[in-house]
Amino acid sequence: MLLEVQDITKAFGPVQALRGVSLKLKPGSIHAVLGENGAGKSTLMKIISGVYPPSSGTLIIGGEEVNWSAAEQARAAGVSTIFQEFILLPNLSVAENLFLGREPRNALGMIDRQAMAKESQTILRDVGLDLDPNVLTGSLRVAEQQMVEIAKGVMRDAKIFVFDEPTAALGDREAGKLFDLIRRLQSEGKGILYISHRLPELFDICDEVTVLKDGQYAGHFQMSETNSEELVTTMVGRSLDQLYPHRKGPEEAGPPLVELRDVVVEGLKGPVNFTIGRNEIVGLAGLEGQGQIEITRAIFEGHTLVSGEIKFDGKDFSHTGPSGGIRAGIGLIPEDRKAEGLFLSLSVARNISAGLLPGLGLARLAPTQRREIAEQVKRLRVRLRNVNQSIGELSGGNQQKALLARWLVRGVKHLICEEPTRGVDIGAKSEIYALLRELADSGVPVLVTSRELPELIGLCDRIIVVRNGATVAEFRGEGATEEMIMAAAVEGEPA
Amino acid sequence: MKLMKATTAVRMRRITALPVILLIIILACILGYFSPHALATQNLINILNQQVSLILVTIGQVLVILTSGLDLSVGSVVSMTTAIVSHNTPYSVPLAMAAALSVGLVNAMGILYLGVHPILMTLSTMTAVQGIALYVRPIPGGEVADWMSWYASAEYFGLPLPVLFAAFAVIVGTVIITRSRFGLHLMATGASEESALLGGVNTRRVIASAYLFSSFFACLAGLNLAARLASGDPLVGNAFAIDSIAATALGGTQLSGGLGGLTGPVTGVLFLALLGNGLNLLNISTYYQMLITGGLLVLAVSTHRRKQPGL
Repeated sequence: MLLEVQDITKAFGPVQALRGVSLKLKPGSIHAVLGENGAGKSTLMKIISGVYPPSSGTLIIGGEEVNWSAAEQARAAGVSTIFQEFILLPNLSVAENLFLGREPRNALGMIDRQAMAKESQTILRDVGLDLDPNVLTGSLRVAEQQMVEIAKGVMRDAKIFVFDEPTAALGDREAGKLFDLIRRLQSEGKGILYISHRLPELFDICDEVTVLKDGQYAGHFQMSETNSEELVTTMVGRSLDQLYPHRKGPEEAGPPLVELRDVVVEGLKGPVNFTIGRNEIVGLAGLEGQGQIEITRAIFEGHTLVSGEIKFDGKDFSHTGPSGGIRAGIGLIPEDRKAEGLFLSLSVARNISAGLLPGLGLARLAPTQRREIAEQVKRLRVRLRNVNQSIGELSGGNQQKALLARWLVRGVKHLICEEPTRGVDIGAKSEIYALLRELADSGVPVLVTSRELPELIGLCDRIIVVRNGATVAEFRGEGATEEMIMAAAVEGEPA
Repeated sequence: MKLMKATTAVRMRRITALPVILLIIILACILGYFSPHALATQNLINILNQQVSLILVTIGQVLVILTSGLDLSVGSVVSMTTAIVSHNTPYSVPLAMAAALSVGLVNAMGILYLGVHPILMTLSTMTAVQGIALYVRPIPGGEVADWMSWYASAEYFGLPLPVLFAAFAVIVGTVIITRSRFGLHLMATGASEESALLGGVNTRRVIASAYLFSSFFACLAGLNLAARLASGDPLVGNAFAIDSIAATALGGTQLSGGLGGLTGPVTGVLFLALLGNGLNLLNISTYYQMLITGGLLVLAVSTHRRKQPGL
């Protein structure tokens, strides 16, 4: 065994992140660690890479029990971790990053840059990366940075590689290159721990999988003897078909609340034509950057239209800016939750009550609405210590729920949800889907954009396909297939 | 494969000094036209000689700023040093050095172990050390050791010894920043302490060393100043913290840490000095001088607004 994790627990204050987790990693195997966000995967990885010491339990590397207090010790013992947030320093060169902490020195005790660059070049080429080692790391693409990170492990002759959601920011081709490299490491007898949400890729490259649930060991399978159904059930404790809530028929759509007629948004071709009924969830599908976000923002922020009109609740649209949209009764859950949706350093309560601010004078006291907030937190089952905790500490799913709570507390008439479940674990996903459906049923229609077609197909009543800023096709969610939508997204003619 | 030649990290650091170098050239041209005397060799040597202390302080300040810290206590350390060494005993200089280094140590401990923000920590020591300076020498006066008077007036190769000493210090500082492991670790720590730590840098030692160096250089500046004044003055260092930070920012070294060097900040010191001197020679009143200097600072610093480290 390369690595044995025995009965590890880890507590942060009163929060038990891990409870008695065990895992064995064989040389030459790719071992997946699967679990929802907050199931303890990242904590486990950080213990294995020496960032945190475990509260109890033992870690055995190559037959020897280890007791690390610093990441450097883990590295010296041959554990190389490719973290989700890169630890490469953007202001250093690639070579400087590779050799950081163990720079070669010349006779005068100064850094030997030539030797460093030369050795770096060899190592980079070895992992299939053709770039100048003197180049600024911050100017590299994410995939390249990841490769550099791996090169760092290869260079230190690591025996165990830990990948924390390595494909989260990669395109298909880059992911393919990464998989090739991982397989090569495997063939060289390295042990690889691989964390990912993406089930299909686990079946592609992993040999075995350990599933965690709520910080506990939930199961161990050989990849060849299991299927996604079983894994999801183990991970969530419920099966996939229950993920999406039940839809009603087309006759239940209700009278239209939002109507877009021949809308052309600045910078896009258009025209966009669709309506959203009062009891509907409507999805916008399409390839990346075909105008989905521009359309949602046109509704929310009342962007100046080149031509066409948007009617909201039967009236013409006249608001400008997000605050106008909110006052008109529209809530937006933005795609980039951290940058556009949340005030990371503020409390959960403040983040929720922020939705009440538009329309209030600056001299007014900021509303607190403790009771309403507590109600929504309970209703949405936001998992937190208390509402005064800063929202940055919550998991993605719980942050998303808090954003939903923001608009529920305000009581919006229409909700726009860009990427409703990005970075959200499966358990919270199904809760969010159910909630969106509940909203639609109560007369608050939802407009959804998503990169994940299965999500749109499972959740939406209708799916509108946009291409080059124009609506080109429309499908009923029930009966739609990924192929149909993709075909329309790629070659559909403007309607 | 790439369309443009990619920026190398080393070039990125060098480039930070460019704007201020351009500025000083422009300034020299303007002064050469309006007031040729400003560029006379003797005047330039005088300016250099007057700026030796600030240059020394700035070297230390740059080391701290590269870690994304700030040292406001340097001015008080300068004052305290002149106050101590103006009591002429054989132990004065070692004592001053020991006192200065303990200030650096206290700064580092407060920032690293108590988690106090660098500005607040050094603001506190700035105040406390000012008190010590005033206690040691309430009013300007005293006398310095003979060798210090000799140092202040000695000349080699037509240049005052203090200027040669400052040049030597700048070269040593540059080598430390650009060539040594410590320099690289400064950059790493300044860009992201957490990442640097995970990358195998002993960030605590790096940060502590930066503050110790800063106090060390401030002490050297104090010694130099005391030698020039041949006495001690408990308030003489007041402007050093602000001036060294202004020069550093002007020199393109980012206050957010992780990017920069010494060339820019030292040029920044010289730029501000030359500007003041030139405006004096042009008979522009102090009020306008301050107004002009402030305005130019805003202009110059706005050319390199705070960016992501490395980008």
